[in-house]
Amino acid sequence: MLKQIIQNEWQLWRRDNRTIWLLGIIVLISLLALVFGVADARKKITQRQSAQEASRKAWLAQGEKHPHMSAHFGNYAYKHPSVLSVFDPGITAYTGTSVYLEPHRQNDFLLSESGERDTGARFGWFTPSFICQFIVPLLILLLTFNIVVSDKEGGTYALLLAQGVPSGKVIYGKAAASFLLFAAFITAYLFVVALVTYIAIASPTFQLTSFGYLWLCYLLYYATWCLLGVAVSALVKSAGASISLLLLFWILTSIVLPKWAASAGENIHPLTTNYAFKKKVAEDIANGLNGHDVQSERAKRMQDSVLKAEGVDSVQHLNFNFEGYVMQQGEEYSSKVYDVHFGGIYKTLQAQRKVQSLFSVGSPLMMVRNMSMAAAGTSLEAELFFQQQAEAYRRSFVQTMNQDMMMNSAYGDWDKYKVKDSLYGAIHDFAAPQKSLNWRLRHVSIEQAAMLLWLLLLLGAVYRIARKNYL
Amino acid sequence: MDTSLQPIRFPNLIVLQWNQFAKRKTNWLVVLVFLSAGFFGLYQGYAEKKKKAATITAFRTEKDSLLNDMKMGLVADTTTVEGKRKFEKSSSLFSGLWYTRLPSYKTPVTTSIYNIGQSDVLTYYYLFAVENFEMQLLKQTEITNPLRALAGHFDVSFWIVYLLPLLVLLLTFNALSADRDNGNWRLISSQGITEKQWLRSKFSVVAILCLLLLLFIAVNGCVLNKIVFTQALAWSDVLFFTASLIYLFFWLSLFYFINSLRKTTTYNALVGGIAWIAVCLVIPVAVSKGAELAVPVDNAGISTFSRRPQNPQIEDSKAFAQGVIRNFAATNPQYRNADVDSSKPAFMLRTYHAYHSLLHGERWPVLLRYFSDVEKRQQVTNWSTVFNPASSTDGMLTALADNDAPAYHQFTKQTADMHKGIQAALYPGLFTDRSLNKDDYKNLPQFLYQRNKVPASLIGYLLLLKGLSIVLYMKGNRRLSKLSD
Repeated sequence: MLKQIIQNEWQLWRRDNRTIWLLGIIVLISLLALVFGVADARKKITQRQSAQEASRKAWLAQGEKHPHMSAHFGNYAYKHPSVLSVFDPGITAYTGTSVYLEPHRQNDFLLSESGERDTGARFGWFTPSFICQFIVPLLILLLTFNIVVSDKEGGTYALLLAQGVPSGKVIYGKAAASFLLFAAFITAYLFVVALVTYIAIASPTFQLTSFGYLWLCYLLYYATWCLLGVAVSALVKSAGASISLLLLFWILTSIVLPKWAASAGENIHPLTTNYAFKKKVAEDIANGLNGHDVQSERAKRMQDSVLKAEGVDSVQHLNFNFEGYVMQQGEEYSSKVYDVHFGGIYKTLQAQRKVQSLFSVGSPLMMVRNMSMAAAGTSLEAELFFQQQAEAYRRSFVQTMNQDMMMNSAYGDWDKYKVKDSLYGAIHDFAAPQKSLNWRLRHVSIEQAAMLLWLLLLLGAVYRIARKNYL
Repeated sequence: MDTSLQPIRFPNLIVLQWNQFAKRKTNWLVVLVFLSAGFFGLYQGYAEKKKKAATITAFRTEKDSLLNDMKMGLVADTTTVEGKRKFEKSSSLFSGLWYTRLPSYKTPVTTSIYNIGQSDVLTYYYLFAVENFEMQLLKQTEITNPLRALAGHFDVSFWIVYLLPLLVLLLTFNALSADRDNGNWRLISSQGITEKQWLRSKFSVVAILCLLLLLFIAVNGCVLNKIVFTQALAWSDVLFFTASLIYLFFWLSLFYFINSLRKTTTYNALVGGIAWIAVCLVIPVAVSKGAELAVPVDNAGISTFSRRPQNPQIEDSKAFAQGVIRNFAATNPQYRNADVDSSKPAFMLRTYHAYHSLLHGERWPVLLRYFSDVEKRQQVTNWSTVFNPASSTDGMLTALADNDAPAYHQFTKQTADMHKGIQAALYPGLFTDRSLNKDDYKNLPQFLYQRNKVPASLIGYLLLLKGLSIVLYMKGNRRLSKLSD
């Protein structure tokens, strides 16, 4: 019986030209989004790879000079799109594309793509995830708003009951018919996305488990919308009321709530400005993290302790270059200061993210967006991890240069000592590792729980509707 | 029809509709919800503007004070150790050129309280020394909040462009069909009222309501601007709300047209909802993608400009270094007598500044091309009014609020002019190998931000949108007249 109801619904959709058109349009724009996404990713990979290679080449060919000057020449870290970021670029578009790594300072990420876009990108960009998160639920609503109510209005339902069809079966059948259609869509689409991006990009970071998780997320997301559409359609008296309610719900939860959540997050936990941040960093480097440890006194103390430990009376008598040692100590202290203040920024962003997670309990779109970004490795946490890796790389190559200065040059020998070319090659190019899916999913536990709760509540509601015969 | 019946005058019909509207508490609840959303949007714009204004004030005060210290160093009492140190810091080429840094800042205009635009991802204050412009520019970026940028802003523009059309939809989607469904239409038409009059009066009430809401938010914004930011009403505020009104007129015309089709409530809700989704969501995103495809932008090359310019040949060969200074002098004739004596202590400093300046000549056009490409993308959106009214309106409102990418590029260009001014003030000392003096400091420029001019496309945009609205309204009228006949 259930199978017949499902087949009947599909047949009705097949016969309706409008439905065929709508489904055709969705398939077309989904494929377009994929083609554009892949082309965009390939272009970015080419551009950034060549920029990274040029930077590396310049680093290797910078010529013999003092190690500290070489360190100042610096390196670059570029973000490279992954297979999954083609599907969901997440927040990577707003966080800059590259960072210049040099001694003494932790620079900001530069040239975010959002600064290069027009003002039309208020709701996001034309990507596969945009289609799956925003557009497909709308199609679900358009197909389900009158799935039950039209039977009531047209008297078909009474006919079904007269034929002995249990009312529960009708509801379950209609819900299953719509869900299976969209489950088939997302299964096929994700398979095509995985295949095309894998072939076109050939990224070593391809993760099948992440695709599996994405598939599960979107299945649950579409199940939520299908159940909601069927439940509302069964509860209201007219198709007009059904579509009005559902569209209003979609607009409130998909458009208004996410913006409200982000604004509220910023209002509750305001992010510092670059000016305030740099001022505080400069103050803490000059006066010490506790505010009472002036740089000159710190240097004096350090000199005394080194002289004492090495058992000599002047820095010229040390068996290493004290200037190199000072340089590295200064680097380590400024790193400590940066850790404190960047840590503050990260904490603020994570607090805002928490606010958004709490808001997401009321918005299926926010839930799936956060889960999708986590799976794609384009979430806030993944971005912060990338930035930390770039910073670790900066500290490592600066330390190597300082070490060379300390061990191989003489005190005051700024003009004569030059670093050997081979050392440039010994410093490897930047390559960012990626965290495991498990680690990434740990940050979306609220969203995952809320998604399941929504699903359970809606299943309960549909079960109740079916049993109580609201029809 | 009873011909002896006195037809109801149109103004009386509007009063009647207003009373009908006012009777329903749910209507007021809906209006209250939308008004609260408007206030929330205004608060977001206010908070952003206040944060920027406070940052600029603190930044400017600190940097002006540091610059003043440099200027005062030249008149310090050199008989004391401290005075001598200050004098040397200001007059020495090495420290003078290093420590003389001028601030530039993009002061938020009055209208920015209504629209945040792209101002949260672009830098609005800079500090510049005489070194290479691009290197310094690309090291100064504002901290972006990616979470808020991802969700987009909930400002007054969002309220006007995306939410008020929803209010219009909610209040008008069943303007005619509801009366038909509940059987009132027979009674209404028996009073000699035509469908056209009935619809027009209902839409007039909704138009008045929207006007009042807009006015309310506008007045509150003006009051906040006056009290908190001491900014008076500006032409851009007036244009902002004029464009908003024309935009709302478009939505009223569209829903008027949908109602004129005399379909069912379900049909109207469905078509109205789809129209909103298409106009506010799908088309903007698609046009934005189209603009991106039409105008490709490559920032990977530009990113390397932040690297400190170094050239080992300068260190290795004095002749090469002298050549750099001569090249610089050739492109800047005012320094044709530049000192190229390699035995002078400031020789390397001169060489590096000449090198930085020559690099600017190569890099600045690349950066300008990048800016121009980004601006072209915005132009695509702004000119797509006929099929993309929401996004082009948003673009226009952002331009009026001086918060779009072109406004920030304009600010950067003005900062580049200021940087040129710093070079003009300090380079004579550097290239003639003399200490810096009072006149050098006196010649330093004072930055004053000049906002972007009104985009020429605004007039075209307003005309196109107005034209589109009139066409829809006339078509609706024609259908209603035809059906009445």
